[in-house]
Amino acid sequence: MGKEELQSKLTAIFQKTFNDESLELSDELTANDVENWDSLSHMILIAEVENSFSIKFKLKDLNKMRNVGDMLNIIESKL
Amino acid sequence: MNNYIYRTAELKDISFLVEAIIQAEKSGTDILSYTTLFGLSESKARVLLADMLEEEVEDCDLALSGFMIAEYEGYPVATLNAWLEGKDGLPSTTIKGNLLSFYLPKEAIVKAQSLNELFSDLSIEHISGSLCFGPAYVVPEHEGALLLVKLCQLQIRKHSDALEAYCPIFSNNLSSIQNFKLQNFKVFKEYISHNEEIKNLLPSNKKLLMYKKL
Repeated sequence: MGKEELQSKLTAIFQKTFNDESLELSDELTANDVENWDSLSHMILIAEVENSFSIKFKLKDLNKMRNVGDMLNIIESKL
Repeated sequence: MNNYIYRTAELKDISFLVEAIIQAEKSGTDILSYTTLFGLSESKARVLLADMLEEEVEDCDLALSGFMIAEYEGYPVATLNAWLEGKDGLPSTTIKGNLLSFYLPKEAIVKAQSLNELFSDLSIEHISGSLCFGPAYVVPEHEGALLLVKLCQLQIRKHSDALEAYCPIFSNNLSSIQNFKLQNFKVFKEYISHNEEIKNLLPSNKKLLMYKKL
């Protein structure tokens, strides 16, 4: 899967999780930039990502994700 | 008060901390969000909370090292969690969300997905760099000894770099609200959900964010 396709798929997951069709991703985007990105929605976001890409994160992977760019890199490393 | 010893929580305290988190979540009601939101039995929630505390992550609701304990005659009798928000670049909500996503069974997450939108009105902001207070609990026999006041003072002293402190509390948790008022915390913001369903899922449809300049 190319980076563009990966990002497009991830964007759809974010838009669905945060119920915001206008949400656009950038590598620098963090939880502080998105309304209602709380522990519950973060948990749902991670589950959706794992489901969609058929991957399973380790806890140490999750705790390394500072922003969307980190998330993309870790997903890419697991595909 | 001289008979109490105050210290940071350790692995041996986990069963007490699980009880504290459960009671704090219930806020004096019988409603446990781990049951209503995730469909877990209380006993399963207790096992998972212990597992998550054993991970010893830092700076969130479920961070073992953030809990300070009041001990009486060798037993923990009160606790209060606090952390510096976003200290290592991750919001506390993300750290907790990571634990939940890793430990909760798939069906619990699916159940939460269907309810997620109901909680948006009660989603509390966490201000980076501030001192955030989390679960607090005193065993009934030691209520009235001002243990939470003392633990709050110790947490503020421990995090002396913080310039402000916040504490989210359900509005029905009058004893906790009173304890923080004794420390000169004021109600900074109110979060209310008008969705009737919330009353079946959480102890209250109203949360207060209390604030104190340090």
